[in-house]
Amino acid sequence: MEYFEPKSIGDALSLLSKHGAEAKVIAGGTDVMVDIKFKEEPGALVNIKKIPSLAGITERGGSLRIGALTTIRDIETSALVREKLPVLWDACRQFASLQVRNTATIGGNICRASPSGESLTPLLVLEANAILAFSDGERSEPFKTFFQGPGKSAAGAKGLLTEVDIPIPPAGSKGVYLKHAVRGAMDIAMVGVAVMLTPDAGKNNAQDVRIGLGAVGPTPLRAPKTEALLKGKALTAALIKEAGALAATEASPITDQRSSAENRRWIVEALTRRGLEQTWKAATGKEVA
Amino acid sequence: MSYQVVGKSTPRTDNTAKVTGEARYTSDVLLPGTLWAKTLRSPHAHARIVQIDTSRAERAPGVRAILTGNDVRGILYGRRYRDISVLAQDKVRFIGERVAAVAADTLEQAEAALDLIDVRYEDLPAVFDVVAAAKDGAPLIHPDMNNYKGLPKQFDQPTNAFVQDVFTRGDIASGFAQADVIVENTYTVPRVHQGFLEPHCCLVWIDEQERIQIWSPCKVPQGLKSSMAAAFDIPKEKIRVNPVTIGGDFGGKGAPFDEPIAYLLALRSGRPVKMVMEYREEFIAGAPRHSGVMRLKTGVKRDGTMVAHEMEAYLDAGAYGGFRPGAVIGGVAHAGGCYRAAHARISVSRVYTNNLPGGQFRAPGEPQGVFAAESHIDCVARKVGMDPAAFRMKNLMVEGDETLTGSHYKDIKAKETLTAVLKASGYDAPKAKNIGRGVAMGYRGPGGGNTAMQLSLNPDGSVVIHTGLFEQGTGTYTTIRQIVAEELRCDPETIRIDTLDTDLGVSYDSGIGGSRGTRVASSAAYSAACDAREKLLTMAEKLLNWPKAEITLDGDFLVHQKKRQRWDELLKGIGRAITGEAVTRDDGHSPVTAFAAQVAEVAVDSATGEVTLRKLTTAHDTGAIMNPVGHQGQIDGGVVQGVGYGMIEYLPVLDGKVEVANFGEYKLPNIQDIPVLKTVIVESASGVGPYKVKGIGENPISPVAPAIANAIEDAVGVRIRDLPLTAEKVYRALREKNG
Ligand SMILES: Cc1cc2nc3c(=O)[nH]c(=O)nc-3n(C[C@H](O)[C@H](O)[C@H](O)COP(=O)(O)OP(=O)(O)OC[C@H]3O[C@@H](n4cnc5c(N)ncnc54)[C@H](O)[C@@H]3O)c2cc1C
Repeated sequence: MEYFEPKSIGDALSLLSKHGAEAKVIAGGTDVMVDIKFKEEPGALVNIKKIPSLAGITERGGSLRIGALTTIRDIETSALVREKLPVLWDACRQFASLQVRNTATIGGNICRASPSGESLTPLLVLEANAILAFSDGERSEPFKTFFQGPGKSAAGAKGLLTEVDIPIPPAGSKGVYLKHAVRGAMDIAMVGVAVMLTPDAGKNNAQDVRIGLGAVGPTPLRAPKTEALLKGKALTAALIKEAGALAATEASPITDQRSSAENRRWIVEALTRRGLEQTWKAATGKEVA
Repeated sequence: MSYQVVGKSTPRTDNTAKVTGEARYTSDVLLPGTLWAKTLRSPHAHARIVQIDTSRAERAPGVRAILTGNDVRGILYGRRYRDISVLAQDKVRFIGERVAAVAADTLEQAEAALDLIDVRYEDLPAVFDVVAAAKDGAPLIHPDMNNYKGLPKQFDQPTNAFVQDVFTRGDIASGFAQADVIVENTYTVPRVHQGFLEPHCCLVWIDEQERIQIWSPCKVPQGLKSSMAAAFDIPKEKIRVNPVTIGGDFGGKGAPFDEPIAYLLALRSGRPVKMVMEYREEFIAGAPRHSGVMRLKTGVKRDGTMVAHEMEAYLDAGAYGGFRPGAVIGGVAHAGGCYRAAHARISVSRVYTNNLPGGQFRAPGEPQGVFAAESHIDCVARKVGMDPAAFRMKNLMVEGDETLTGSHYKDIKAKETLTAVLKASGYDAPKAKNIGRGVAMGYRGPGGGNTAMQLSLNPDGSVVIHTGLFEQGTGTYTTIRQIVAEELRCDPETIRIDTLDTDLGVSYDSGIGGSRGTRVASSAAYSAACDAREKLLTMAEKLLNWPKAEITLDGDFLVHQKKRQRWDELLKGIGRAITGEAVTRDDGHSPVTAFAAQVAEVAVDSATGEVTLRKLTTAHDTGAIMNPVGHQGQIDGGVVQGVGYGMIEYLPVLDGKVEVANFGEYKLPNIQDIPVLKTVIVESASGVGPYKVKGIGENPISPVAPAIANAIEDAVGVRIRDLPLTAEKVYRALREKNG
């Protein structure tokens, strides 16, 4: 295995072009090192951690920009993220363990494109964009189309994620991320549900509701039918019940070691309901009636 | 009795070495010219080996020796029951069984050579279900079982159920006839791995004098010698087990694993041979706790008096039974519980299947049996409309009773222990919705054993102990040191204990296990220290003309009235050390047992089934506590392992194939899963040995899982009879209940 430490995005991209499918980018390495140990060793390992200015959180023109090398811990401890993007903050604080959060990067989490990746459903509901660099230039790709399957993304083998661009939701919008796992820490989500709710001016109705479902399909998913059902309405217990059941049908989970598919749908239903109750209350100050 | 050192929290002897990295583990031992060996494992659960061709592997770079079943014909090993093939002979019996072994210059070369061994298999009918395997007509896994050494009882016809133990009391049929209410249920438990950090490993070297030098974290070094000697028909004296630190045992490191293979490869290559199992191999072939199916049937009078208690247990031994001390797993019989019933029948079968072999894990048999029994007792109590704690109180054994399996103990503290836990846990306090409390109990007396110990007071002022007991990681050496310090009135830190070496001084020990460490060690250390003191005082009397009865010890000094004399100076004068010796034979049934009672408090999320263990209170009936911090460590560790067994851990096996390969997939609890732990000690003066001790190591683990299961039913009204108690099982049951 060859090992490289490019000092610029350009150098990194040319290494990726040169080595093609043999090459593997490594950032925090919390996924890559596990794969090297248990799956296979790449022909060339391209460590991007020496590239300056790929880490950091900045606010720019109605967006938060988070560099690909920003660690999950830095996001979790950022006051800016906590204030403006509570749904992302909520996911990051439930991620693995402190040790892993100190090492793992958001870019790695995204490019790994695991359906259970903690930051992925929040980025979907935030309608964020991936800023990708290729040898022929840069482009912005919405996360809606970025994730293509387990481990597959629009970055492909030759692209580099440099940043994520996250439009800051309207003031008054609230978000939560709910994780269901076997143990209390250091565990992959069996189901993850991100809910974001923006109230109307009078705080009487949900002007916008977005729901992201993790670990229940080949990619992280949105639940468009459920969102449509809720949009513009006041959330009542009956409506939330209906929404939970509908969200469960929008998931397409599999059965594996950790859970049956059937159970995953049940959990989607329960967590969707819970997420709606919590965001409704946070956004309107009212309990669901 | 008041003591200076005994009974006070004392730092462990091995703290510094472990923290600084100085402790020497087996894989740290390096000998010049060492080869690495790996084994080829069977991908088939039950198959005939039609042909095995090693010729390509023999020519591979770095390869020095290769073994197959043809090289080990007729050799079977095991701890006492000897049914394990060193390498599969003619047929394989589980996925992961060792079929061939290669020793090469490097680990990578050994691994690469494995891929060049060609084996042709022909599948045989396999059986994976323990109950099916026990039936007539099931594929026979060991047709020769009647000829194996160490089989407790022969059978007319060979059977997979190679151990069939039955305890009876009264007449079970008439017991059920007297009952007003009969409750019958089946409980199932999965395999769980011990989860030690250091996998099985060994280094074997045949030295210039043709002695077999072994480094291995086997916790029973004398047993390892015996097993090797028996398997290869060599005198025990030819074998030496060298000192190493163990990287965790939890019961799983009592049996020889790869030592026989490493020995044969060393013999063949003339080089030292090292083998270290990968954790993946631990999961597929590492002898975890047995899985099992247990049917319980209990008859009670309307007022809640138990009259008949029956259990039929099938434990899945997998393909080989020799990885545990005896063929029989006595602990399951604890499913008899701590209760009185005039009529009982408890049958326990250990059954061969084509799954991976079952082994030994902390309190062998009890976590299984106690889960079933203590869950069942709750079901019975609820059926007759009694509070489960009150039902237990009514039926618990009292002084003069024997256990349902016929064991007799004095100073029965069952009710005191239960009372203590109910009070300390707030069992009767009001609860919010979806909060539940569950109680469960267990009992276990300290195991017995034999050992030898030697203690020398040296002219250089040092105090050195040689013991036949292995430090399994529980702190036995710390206790030994406390006792010697107590009896010789010196500072424990000044006493050195040499890590066990089967060549040195003491070569007699029945091994650590069965919570016997403190019982056996405290007797031996006390006797050896008293012997040394007696010899020292006798010498002092002679040399100093002080009347022996008036001499006391104080650190480095002998003291008589106002006069003080350093003892090392006297020894320098006579030019020799003083040696205290003890040979302890204490392997009888303990006259006392130790009860444990626990209350789990859970919160159940009724929308997802998620169970949060909020608090676990554990009460223990103890003897004198030698080292409180060590004692508490055993309690907390045992409870946490119980939490893992209850809620998280299991080794998934599908058609004989283990489906996890690492600790990412095989989950153990971590710090977030540990609830508030509370301990209550119910101390009594009736322990055994010079300090009146009882065991603790295995007592805390077993009641945890049923206490949680019982708490779940208390919280949300569903009963889970299959471990672990996952959110999915709870939620599924809730859906069924609520329609
Ligand atoms: C013990 C443990 C627990 C874990 N728990 C969780 C958890 O709770 N939740 C969770 O979501 N994940 C978890 N993970 C997975 C992992 O930590 C995350 O996916 C993490 O965010 C990966 O980031 P990294 O920087 O370590 O990525 P790496 O391992 O360095 O890379 C991951 C992947 O992304 C690619 N890559 C990385 N950066 C870029 C880039 N800038 N451009 C293009 N490709 C890139 C790599 O080639 C690789 O394919 C856990 C992992 C471990 C080992």
